[in-house]
Amino acid sequence: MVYYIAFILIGVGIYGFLTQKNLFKHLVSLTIVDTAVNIFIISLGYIEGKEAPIYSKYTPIANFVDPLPQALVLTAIVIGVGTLALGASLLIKVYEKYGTLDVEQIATKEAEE
Amino acid sequence: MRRFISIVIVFGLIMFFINTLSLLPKYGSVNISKVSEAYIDKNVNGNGGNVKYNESESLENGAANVVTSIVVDYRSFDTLGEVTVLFTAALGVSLVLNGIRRKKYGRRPNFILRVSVGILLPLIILFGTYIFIHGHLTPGGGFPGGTIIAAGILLLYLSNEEFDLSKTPKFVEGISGSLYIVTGLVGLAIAGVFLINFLPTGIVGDLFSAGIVPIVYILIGFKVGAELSGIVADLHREG
Amino acid sequence: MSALLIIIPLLAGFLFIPFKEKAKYILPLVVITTLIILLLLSPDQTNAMGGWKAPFGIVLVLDSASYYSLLVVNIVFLLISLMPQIVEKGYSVVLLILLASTNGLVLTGDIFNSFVFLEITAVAAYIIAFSRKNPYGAFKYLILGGISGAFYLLGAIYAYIGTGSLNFADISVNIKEGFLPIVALLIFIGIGVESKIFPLAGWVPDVYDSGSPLTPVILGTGVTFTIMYLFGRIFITVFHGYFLDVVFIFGLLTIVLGELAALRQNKLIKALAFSSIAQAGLVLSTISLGGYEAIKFGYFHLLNDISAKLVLFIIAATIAHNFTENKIAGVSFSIASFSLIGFPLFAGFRSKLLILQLAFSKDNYLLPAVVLFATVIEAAYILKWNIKLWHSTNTGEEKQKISWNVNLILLIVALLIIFIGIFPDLYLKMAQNIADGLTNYRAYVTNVLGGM
Repeated sequence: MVYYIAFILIGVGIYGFLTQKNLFKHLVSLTIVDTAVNIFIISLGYIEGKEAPIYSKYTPIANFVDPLPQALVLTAIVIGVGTLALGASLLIKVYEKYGTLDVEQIATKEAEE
Repeated sequence: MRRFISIVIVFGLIMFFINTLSLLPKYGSVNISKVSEAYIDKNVNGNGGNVKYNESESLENGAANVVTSIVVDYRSFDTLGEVTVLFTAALGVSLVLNGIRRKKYGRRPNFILRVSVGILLPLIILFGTYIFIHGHLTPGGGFPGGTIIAAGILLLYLSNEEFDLSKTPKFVEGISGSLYIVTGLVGLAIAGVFLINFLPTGIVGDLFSAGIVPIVYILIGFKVGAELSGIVADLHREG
Repeated sequence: MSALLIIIPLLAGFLFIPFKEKAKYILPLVVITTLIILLLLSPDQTNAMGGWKAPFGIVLVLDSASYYSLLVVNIVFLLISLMPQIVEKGYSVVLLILLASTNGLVLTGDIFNSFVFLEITAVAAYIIAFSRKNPYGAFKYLILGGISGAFYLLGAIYAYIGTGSLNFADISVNIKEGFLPIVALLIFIGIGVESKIFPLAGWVPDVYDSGSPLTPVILGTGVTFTIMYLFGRIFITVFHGYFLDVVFIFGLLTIVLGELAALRQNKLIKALAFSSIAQAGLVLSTISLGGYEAIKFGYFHLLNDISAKLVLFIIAATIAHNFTENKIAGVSFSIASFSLIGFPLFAGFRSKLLILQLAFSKDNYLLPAVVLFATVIEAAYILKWNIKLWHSTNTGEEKQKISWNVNLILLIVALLIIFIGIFPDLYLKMAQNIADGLTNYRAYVTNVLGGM
């Protein structure tokens, strides 16, 4: 079930990227795709009835889910945040230059130049 | 027309992924891979196994949090790359937004915000510090800890018009990033291997355990906090 | 210690972040240091990061393929660092990071690590794409690059599920039945954007036309070479040539569409950007012919292409008006552009001839037909631009002088192109070493995983 949610979210993200005209929505689509991939990776490490992979008072011996996907997702999230911040700052500049975030209006302004 | 083509593309993509489901293990019954097995038992070099909380001593890696042991020790090189991505993004934000003035609200922020920031800020900073110091024992670590501290900086920006970090984040991230690399280079000098864990690893579950893992995570905490604060400061400008 | 090649530029980048403007003085020193370290290292060594052995930790693999690729990439960076005029203020730190990440991308032997380095390269490339106020092109590139990065990550995860580890050598040996097509397709989409393959290359003209010469020069030479190396490493060493038939078709499409689009442009730099897409297609389809010789000739052509593009992009982005006042630049431009067409006596002729001979010997007539068709179109627009620039009456509103060091470098590269056209052994030997390293699967696995 979780797999289906991840796949459908990837589809939603790609659909948004292909159809939307507002550049900010492209950035949102990118974030949706990233999140979907992260959900998918996390779900591939889950094992029913097992604990979070931390040795502690309550889980003194190993009875853990797969820890590697969680470590990979941690890296992937940070990379996603970096890309998002850079994209947002580029959008500020796009708006400053063209006065709009609409793809078609930007295209007409580009053609005028 | 464009919509129709998009729907076809997306539908094809989802069908492709659903087709791969027959290869994937059922949700909730994944087999732990050989690599993860070795990470959990701390058995990569072949002298671990049967780790027990508060008892096992001097393992190849002493972090009680297995995810931390992967992020900061087994795959530490990835993490170096990861902080570099964030570093590059912060640098990019400052280069892209170069020359835009700081946003002024033109009025005093309201009373509740000003007073509550005074009370909350020390607590937020303390909480962030706690998170990244205990990264090898509890969920958390340098990345969440740094983010919490950056959230505190964001509050400062919202509550005080005159507040400005100027170049502090750049110095902090530069120095902590360099220290991370220097930690690795010390390993290179001592044992001939970059990023090797050259300190004793102690007992699993102690605060002072796991060798260089807490040191590196504290450095990452500072670096991530400074980078995100820098991004917050740069984005907080007149658009 | 191959890790030093990544660490030294990274450390310099971290240290110079508070003084961004000063970094341009340190850049040539850092590049020279990495080159010296590279020359002191001997090929055929693997270094485990943190001391964790192969399938568990991350290894850096230095074999003959990665050694010569590093040599090419670092020399490109050296040439660029010697031309501080083309680097915008504050962008030297980005170049330092880019150097670290391209070196890492070439060295790494781990699929997730290569994803991380790919993302660093991509983020640095978005910033460089922005230089001189080109936010729209950079944003397009960022969105496409971000989505393709997600697909690369998915490919890495499928490889992990199918193998149980993330190591290239382990994946090539132990991947389970049925996973290979999925991983190959996802990775192909993942590096499709950076390697400028047909449906995903829409960003190239917008980004290369950023107004700054740095953008097309570094993205079209150093980064392109690194991505092509990564492509070879994954599809040839790890997948043993699986999936290359599909790449071949996409490569041919890329050639035809790229050249047709280039012909229609009325701005020189956009025409060259489309030509760069077409050349990437040619390299990919040559490599996809399969076999040792094809890989060797593919990389030989890539070397010729980036030498020519280095000259062309610098000139196209600085003075695209008139050559009568800049004779040296004009001569270099003509030499490089003739090499691009594959005019006899120039370097491009050698590689195109070898590719055609190889394709005929394999009874493949599709590639020669496409290459000849592309050459005719290429000749049409290259000659048009040459005539236009040499006989331009337009003296140019803004006279941009090229300073002596840029002129010198342009001239050296142009002479190198002629030299290669007459004695191709230098580049052929490099390409041969790269092909040797990429096709020697067994040695790669033994090097990484230890005696098996």
